[in-house]
Order: sequence, then structure tokens, then C-alpha cells
Amino acid sequence: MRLYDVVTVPFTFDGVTYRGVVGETLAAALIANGVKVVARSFKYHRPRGVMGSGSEEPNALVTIGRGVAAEPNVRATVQEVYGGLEAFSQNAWPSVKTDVMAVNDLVSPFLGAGFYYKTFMWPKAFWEKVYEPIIRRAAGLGGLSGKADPETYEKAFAFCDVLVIGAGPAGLMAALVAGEAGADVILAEEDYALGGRLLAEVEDIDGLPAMEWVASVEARLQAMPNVRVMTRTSVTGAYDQGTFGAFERVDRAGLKACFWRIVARRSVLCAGALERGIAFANNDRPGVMMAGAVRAYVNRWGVATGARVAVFGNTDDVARTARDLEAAGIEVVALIDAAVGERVIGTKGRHGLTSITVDRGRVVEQIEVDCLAVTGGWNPTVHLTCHMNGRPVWDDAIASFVPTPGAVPDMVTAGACHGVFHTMGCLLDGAQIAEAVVKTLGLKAKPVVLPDADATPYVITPVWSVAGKGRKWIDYQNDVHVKDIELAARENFRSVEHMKRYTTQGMAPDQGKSSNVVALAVLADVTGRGIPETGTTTFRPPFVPVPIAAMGAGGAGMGFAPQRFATSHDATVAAGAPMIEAGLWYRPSYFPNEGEKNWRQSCDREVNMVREAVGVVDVSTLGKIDIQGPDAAALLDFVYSNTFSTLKVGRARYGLMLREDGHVLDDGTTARLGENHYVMTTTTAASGLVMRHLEFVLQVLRPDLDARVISVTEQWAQFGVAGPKSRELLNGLLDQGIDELPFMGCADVTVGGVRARLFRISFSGEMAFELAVPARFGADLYGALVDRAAVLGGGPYGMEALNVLRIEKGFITHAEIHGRVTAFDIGMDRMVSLKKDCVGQAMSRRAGLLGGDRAQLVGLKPVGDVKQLSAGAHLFESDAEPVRVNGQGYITSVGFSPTLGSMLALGFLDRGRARHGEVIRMVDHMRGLDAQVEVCDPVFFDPEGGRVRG
Amino acid sequence: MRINCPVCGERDRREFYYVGDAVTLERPERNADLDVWDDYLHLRDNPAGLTRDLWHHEAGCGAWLVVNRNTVTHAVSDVVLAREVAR
Amino acid sequence: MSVVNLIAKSACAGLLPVTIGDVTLAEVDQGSMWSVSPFQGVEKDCVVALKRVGIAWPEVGQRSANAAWFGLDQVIVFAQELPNLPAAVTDQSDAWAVVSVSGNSQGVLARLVPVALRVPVGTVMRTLVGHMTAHVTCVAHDRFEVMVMRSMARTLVHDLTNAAEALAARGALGADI
Repeated sequence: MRLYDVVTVPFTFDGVTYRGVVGETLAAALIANGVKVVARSFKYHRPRGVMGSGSEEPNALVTIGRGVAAEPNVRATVQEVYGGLEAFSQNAWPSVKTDVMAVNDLVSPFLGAGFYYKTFMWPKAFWEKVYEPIIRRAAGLGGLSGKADPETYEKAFAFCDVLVIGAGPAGLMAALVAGEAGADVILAEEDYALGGRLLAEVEDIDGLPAMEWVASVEARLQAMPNVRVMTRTSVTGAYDQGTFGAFERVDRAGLKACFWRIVARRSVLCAGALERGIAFANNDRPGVMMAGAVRAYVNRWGVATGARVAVFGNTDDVARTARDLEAAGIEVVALIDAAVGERVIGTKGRHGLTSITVDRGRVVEQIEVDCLAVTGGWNPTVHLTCHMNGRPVWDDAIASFVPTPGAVPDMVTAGACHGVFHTMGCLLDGAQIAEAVVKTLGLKAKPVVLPDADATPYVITPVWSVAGKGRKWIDYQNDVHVKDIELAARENFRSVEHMKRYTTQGMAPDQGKSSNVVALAVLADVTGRGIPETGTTTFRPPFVPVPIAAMGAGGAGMGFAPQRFATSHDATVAAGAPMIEAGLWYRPSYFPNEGEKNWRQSCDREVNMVREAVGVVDVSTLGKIDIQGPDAAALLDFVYSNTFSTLKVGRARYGLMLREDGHVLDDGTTARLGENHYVMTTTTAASGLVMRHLEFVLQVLRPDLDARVISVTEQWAQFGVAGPKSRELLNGLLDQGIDELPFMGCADVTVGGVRARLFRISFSGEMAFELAVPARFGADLYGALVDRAAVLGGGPYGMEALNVLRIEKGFITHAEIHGRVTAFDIGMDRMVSLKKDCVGQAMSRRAGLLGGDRAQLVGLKPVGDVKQLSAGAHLFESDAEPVRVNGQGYITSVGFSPTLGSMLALGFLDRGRARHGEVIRMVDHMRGLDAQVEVCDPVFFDPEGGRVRG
Repeated sequence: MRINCPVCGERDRREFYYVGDAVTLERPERNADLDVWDDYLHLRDNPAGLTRDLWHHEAGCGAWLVVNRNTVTHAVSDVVLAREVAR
Repeated sequence: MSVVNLIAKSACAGLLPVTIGDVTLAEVDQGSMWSVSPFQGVEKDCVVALKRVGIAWPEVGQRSANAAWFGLDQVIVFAQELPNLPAAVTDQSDAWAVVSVSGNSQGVLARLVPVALRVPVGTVMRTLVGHMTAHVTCVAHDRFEVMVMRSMARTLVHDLTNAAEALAARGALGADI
């Protein structure tokens, strides 16, 4: 019911159209429209209504929107109303009013804490297949659509001197003082408006309504360029070195939300306090609400929570609530003062409160009410101070926990979360704390004139639960009541952390914000301990639920990882080549010609083309590292297992790089461009790894070496030109003849006057060159190379053909040097020079790495009826059962060789080098392949290497 | 977590690559006993408290850093260039 | 006597410029760029040799008129030619995609870069832009230059565009953070 006329817009809840005010919370709008039941509870499916007015709300979780855009588990107390808003209740079927799963409530005596653990033990296999799916369907909250989220989320970083968390009286004063002292300030407020409790209370500041003071402070803050006010922003976690997570609900202009990482030199937590309830029988009926929320609906939104309201509590808030309700013209039918022993002992009304039973000592009476406002006192919002292992301490004066000073480095607390429970005290605390904070930053606070405000002391008589029959609910969101906690204690789950897990108290999305302290008090009572000895459970981030979509904002689709494109990319795609990922790079798989029906036909043609004419391939993706300095040669001798100081200028050499533990790190060719100048090539996959390794060697292991390493991978577009006609092609293109360039030679050349580098190296076994030009010319040069290749009967080739060409020659890639193989395993142990020190040399001598039993690189070809081979298949003796204990090796690479007319494979086989000629068994259990294969030398084609020398 | 790079200033953890114990700085002699090498490469203490790690400011200036920090409090007490220590 | 005439293509050709809201992304032609890493103990000789040809050696984290700090022991010099230097010198003219972000550039980069952006003009930071390692230079109070590896030009434009679009949406709300 609304207390005054307002302009409204339509919205729907479960398909029924209501009217609400733009910007008010959905909870306020539902209450204004008389909607009492808004949700069903998690376990027993009990009807529940709105209980609170902030992000701590346990009951009013709804789904907003429909279809793929539906967002489940939104707190109606946080969601703002807009025209056309569609909200739906959750966890109820067919409707929130008549929910068939409410049968759980009738059998609830059997469903207490630990019920599932005890009942569904047998038979064991039933848990996963039968019980769990049923339980999961019965219990639960809203569901996801299962489709990609179409909403836009953001992630962003912010930096400040002082982060003020919460914009109530303490936070506003703190931000004002810090801002006026010249600090960079971020004021983060969870609500859409500043003011904190002042938004919900009727109070004066300096003789004027408190919100006028709030507005004046807000104007002063907005006028300061060094102050940033962030509303709708919940600070969700406090992390190391002044880092905070913050979740901003935007929900407008096509933007859903933003997850902020805020780095602050200092922080002032002004998070206020959360009201707690009192456990009494059937205290969860729709219409039983927190007293502070009742005041918020009446005072802030002009919405009456009932027509006949009773108030039950143990502080002055009972009188305050009655005063505000009466001032709004709402009938207050009873005040039940728990401080003097009066109790509410029962309630009635399944779909909305109809009456309460009150025990005033001498008399027990039933009173007809439609709303009961309850307060059990206030708990400082200590959560963030506990995120780095801090534990709050008990304060008898307010009968609650307060933060431990220094629990989060460089964070201080002020106001209600600091245990200060009246407005005047909060203003003073905020100002004083901020003054001290800016001083630590070397700034001086300007003198502030404190406004005059309410300073009524907070007096509380702790009351946790009411004796008597019936279920007395504590955690509404997880359906935990007093008896569950008593049962936990009886079954010896007496530690607060054990009780929590046994009962699920505080484990729902609200993390027990309004219930945990009551639960601790009940546990303390039944275990005969004090509350301080009982202690609290651990508070963990996030303070409010954060959608994974917000944390991962920007990470979907193209944002998942950078995409690296070579200069030939556009031409390659235009030629119809399917692209495959190679690390972050995209490389062509094959180039389909007209009439080719599958990739194999294209691949076979490309292999034959390279063997018979000439092929062009973009090799820019390989890492290129420029190495210069007086000790450049010494550096290479140290990082490669073989020697580079003896390499002649103008020549290139294959190098093998080991890890310090003796296993192979990478391989590639390195060319000597000058006396103190080399350029190293790495594999595509390991280019970053090798660069890091070289910097590690220079800065950590050998800072005595005077050499510099710089990546030039991106500077050069480099193309492989391979095949018997490669020299002819280049002779027709370069400004110089290259007949004199020997195998493994390199030279500076020019192409159309453009400075270029030419290397005569080969990864195909054919005569081959690699030509590098500055990257801006890459696209054009690639086109020229492909055109000229076509004239000579050649063309571009892709990764599939490149792979077959290198398998035919037994050249290894990271499929073979996969991190667990040594130089010995690949037959290159003689490349580990003992004439000098190098990374990995010492450990490569270990007996276990040289042993005769190790799996060694071999070639394999099919000799039985099955001609198919597959990578990942396992190797066995020809007559052995193909089970794990009989395994003798595995296949790393396969390809069909059109040159030899057979599948070929590379793999590792126990003592393989001594077994050439032996027929063994290859089994791929995944693909159901079982083939007889012959072990052979890994070099299948042109073992003498005549072709590469031309 | 934030690390105060001596070159770039305080930066977010995401810019750094973590390696492990800074014992890596004390590389054994080439002909040292294989047990010494094994110890150097594979055996590590796992202290609750002060640790001395090697980090690489990979997405920053490229410096290798020796970071002294506390695994209990997460405090980072001291960060120096590895090559200054190695020299 | 050349048989071909190779045509140059810039890293962001066909991708830029674009304007989104009040943010403009444009490719910057830096001309010739050289990385210079002095050998041990001779940095001063490099500084002097470059000064002689009018090139001011930049402080760590700074850009001078024609050179910029580029990383540990490394500066980048914007010049057609370099004198002989006791340093490792490499041509980096083609290695980078260089994009200027103007308008609410701090707003755009705050969505991608994990460092504080309220820095003096001339500040160079080696950091991340999204997942990419990058050089971020504040070249004017409302303009930054971002350099990433040339091959990542499309991802850079994609990331900057996304951030600018979100910012523009917020601008429509009257919020500019």
C-alpha cells in the first residue's frame, strides 16, 4: 500500500502486471502492490515474503527477464524497477502460492540437519544416479538458461589514495575530509543513492532533515575533481596490497555490470551494520520483517508494509519503528518489548501473517496483525575486515562482533561497522578516522565543523531465541532453524565451522548476513560456552554474489586470447585455406584446389609439389631473437647444448636447447650475421619460453656475460621457399643471384631494393630457403612468391603438407620434444658438448636419462592389413596383450606420405634404436585401431640428404 | 597481490611470471656432484613465513626479480633485481 | 635493377581510424624505430653519441622528443639513421602496431590496462592491454599511444573498440567513468 500518490510504470511479477515507481526497488513495488509471497524456501519450499531492504535479503530472490537474458537469484531488494520489468519467482511449481514441493515441509521432522548424509548412504551407487539428481531438483534457487549470455559486461581498473566503502554518515564525512585534504578518493556505495541508514530513518542534522545534509555533502563531493563517487557498487573483497574487488550494477544502456579492481593506498570501511532477527516459532511467515526494513519502506519509499503492524524487539528501535509508523498513519497494534521479557511465541497465516501469539508473562494473547517488525539488534558489517584471515572480536556493549584493528593492512573502520551506533558518533568517527588516514599520506585535513545530529546511546538486552515449541528459523535462505543447531551440537559438531557445514547455516548466497550471529549465540548456549569462545565462521569474498560473466568480462569470443595474424593472412584466407591455431597464431591448414574433395587430396598434392617443383610457406610465426654483444657467442654456447662460437659468419647451424634438468627445451637454427651478432630461430610454440629463458640466463645465471637479446619476430615477415625449383624462383625475384649460397648459409640480399635476409635452411629435406623482409612488405612479397611459384608448377602449402614433409625426413617438432625427452631419447646425445658448460649438461649425464631402457625415437610404418596409424596410439610387442603394463611406447606424429605411398609415424619405443626391422603392434584404444608396424629409422626419405644440398 | 618492481614501481601480480625459490641463483659448479644438482633443481623447503622467490616482470620491463615475501601475512617486504644479487 | 616493386602495408591498414563517442582510435606512423641496448658499462657512451646527433636519451619510464624508454636496458630511438653505438641495435620499425587513443583515453584504457593512468605527459609504461604485453605512453593529457606486437593489431583494435563502446554507452547515461 502506498502512503502517497506517485507516478508509476507497469512491471510484471509471475506474469501479473503491477505498477511501480521507476528507481524504487522491486521489493518496495511488490509490497506496495500487496504481494506477500515472493519466493519459496530452498529446502522445505515454505512461502516467504520480503524480509529486509538491502543486499543482505535472504528471502526475496527472483529471476529477472526471460529466455537467454534471464538472470536468476536477483535480490528484489536491490533490483530497481523500470517500465516493462519482468520478474519471476523461483523454486516453485506450478506457482509460488501453490507449490507441490511444499510437501517437503510436511515431512520436515525427517529432513533435519544431516538427513541427507544419513539417509542416502546405501546403496552407495545410488547416490550419484538416483538420490542426488532428485535432491538437486527439489532443492535449489533460480536456474540458468544454459545458453550464451547476450549481455555486455565490463571489467575495469581504478586507483586511488583513499577508498571509502559505504556512503552513510561516517562514509560521507570520511570522503569529505579526505577529498578536501587533496587525496584521490573513491567513495563506493552499494545503494543507488548516498546516505546509508539516513535514507531510511527520520532524523535531523543541523536542524534540517538528514537527507538535505546528505544532498549538500554529495554536491561538495561531486564538485571535487579528486573524488569519484561510485554508486550501485558493492565492494566485494579485500585482497593483498590494497587491492579490492567491486561489483557495479549498471543495468542500463545495454551494459549489465562492471567488475572493478580498485587499488587503494588506504581504505576506510564505513559499511554500516546489518540488523539481526530473533528466533521464535514460525518467524518466517510472509509479513514478518526486519524493523529497520519496515522503516525503510515507510520512510524512504512511502510504502506501508501492513495495515496492522506489531513491533517486537530488544532495543530503542521498537519505539522508533512505532513512532515512524504512526507518523505515517499506520496502525501499530502492539509493542512487544523483549528487553523486559515479553516474547512473540507463535504466528499464523500460511500465505501471509494473520496473527501473532504474545507472551507477556502473566498473559498470553493472540493479536491480529498483517506485519510484524522484528529487531534483535545490529551487527557491524565486519566482512571485509575478515577477508585476509582477520577474526572479529566480541563487544559486550553492543552484544556483537566488531572488527579487529589492523586485520586488513592499511584499512581502518569508521561508523556503525566500527561499533558506533548513533548518527552523531558516526559523523565524528568518519571525520576523525579520515583525518588520521590522510595524515599517513602526508596530507593535512582541513578543519571540519561537525554538524549536530542524533546522539541517543544504543542500549541492547541480548535476546537470541524464544523458548517453546515450533520451528524457530535462523537462516531463512537455507532453511536452518534452532533445532538443527541443537542437533549438530548433540552429534558433537560443536565447532562453529563443523556446525556450519552440518546444518548449512550461512552457506547460502546471502552467507548468513542476517542470521550468523544468532546461530552462534544459539550454538554457544547449547554447548555451554560464551559467544566469544564459540567464535565466528570464516568470512570470505565476495560480499555479494558476483556473476562469473562480470569477472570474465571481455574474455568471451575474440577476447579469450589475442589473435596473431601473419602478413600473409588475408591472402591465405582469400585462397580458401582453413586456418588452424598454432599457439596464438593462425596458420593455413591446406590450400584446396578446385576439384579436391578432401584435405588429404590437397595435402598430397602440396607434398608432391614441394618434392617436384616449389612450395611457399609463411614461417613468420617462428621466434626470431637477435643476439648481440662481445659475449654473444659465449651466451649461445651456454644455452645450446652444441657449440656456436665456432660457427662462421654467414653460416647457420641447428641447435638443441636443454632445460637445466637435462630434458629438451627447444630446437632451431641460429645464424651468425657478424662477429658479435647472431639471430636465433625458435619454434613457434616456444618463442616466448625461449626469450624468457635467455633473459633468465643473462640476468640470473650469467650476469657476467655482456650480451643483449631482443625479439625481432615481428619485425620480419619470413617465407619458406622449398623444392628443387626454389633457387630458380628466388633467382628470378631477388636483386642478386644466389647460386653461390651454400646449404646452411645466410646472406643479406635485396628484393626490389628492399633490404632482406636470406637463409638456406630446410625443414622439408628439399633444397630450400627462407627469405625475410621488413613486415610492412610481407603481404606483397608473399603474393609475389606465390605467383612465381605457380609459374614454376608450384604454389603455397599449409601445415598439413609441412608436417608430412618433415615426418618423411624424421625432423622433430614439439610433438616429439614434449618436455619429457632427452637428447639421448631423440638420438642427439652427441650434440651435448662436454667441451664447455651449458644449461642442462650436468643433469643430462644422470644414469636414468641415458639408460638403455629408455624409449627412443623411431620411425614406424604399417606392414599388416591395417594401413592406418594414429598419433597417441600405444606400442606393444606383436603378440602382447594391449594393456598398460605391456606398453613399450607411443606414437607422436603420423602422416600419409604420397612420396612413399604409405602412412608413416614417429614415436618413442623402449630401446627402439636397437629394434629397427622388428614388427610390433600399435593399438589406439580410443579409435579402435590395431595395426602391425615395422620399426625403422626415423628418416624415411633421402637419408643421405642429397636433395637438400641440391 | 602487488609487487614493487624496482624499475617500474608497484604493479599488479598479473604482469609477473612466478618461477619459484630464488635458490636458482646459486647454480652449482658444472662438475658438482649429481646430488648437489638434484638438490638445486628439485628439493625445496615449503616455509610458512618468509620466502625468497624469483619472479619475472614479463609483462613489464622484463627484469628478473628476487622477491622477499611472507606466505602467512602475504606481505612483500623487499624486491631487488636478480642480477644485482647474482653479481 | 629491380624485378619487383614491393608495396608497404601498415599494421592497422583497413582497421583504423574509427571514432566511437568522443574517443578516436588512429594508427600512428612512427617512421623508423631502433631498439638500442647499450653493452655493459658503456651506457654513457651511447648517451653522448646520440646527443651528438640530436637524440636525447630518455629517463626510465619517460619519452623524450625522439626516443623512449622501452624496458630494462633498452630504449627505442625514432630516427632514420643511427651513428655507430656500443650497443645492440635492431630495427623495430615494422615490429609494432602503434595506435593513438584520444578523447576519454583514460576511460578506455582503464578497462584494459592494470596501471594508474593519471600520469604526467611523457610517461611510458610497459604493461598489459587486455592479454597483450604493451607499451603505453601518455602523449597528451587526453591522448595515449599504445604499442603492441604487430601481429596483434586486430586484437588491439577489437579490445579498444569494445572498451570505447561501453564507455560511449555510459556517456549516454551521463556518467563518464
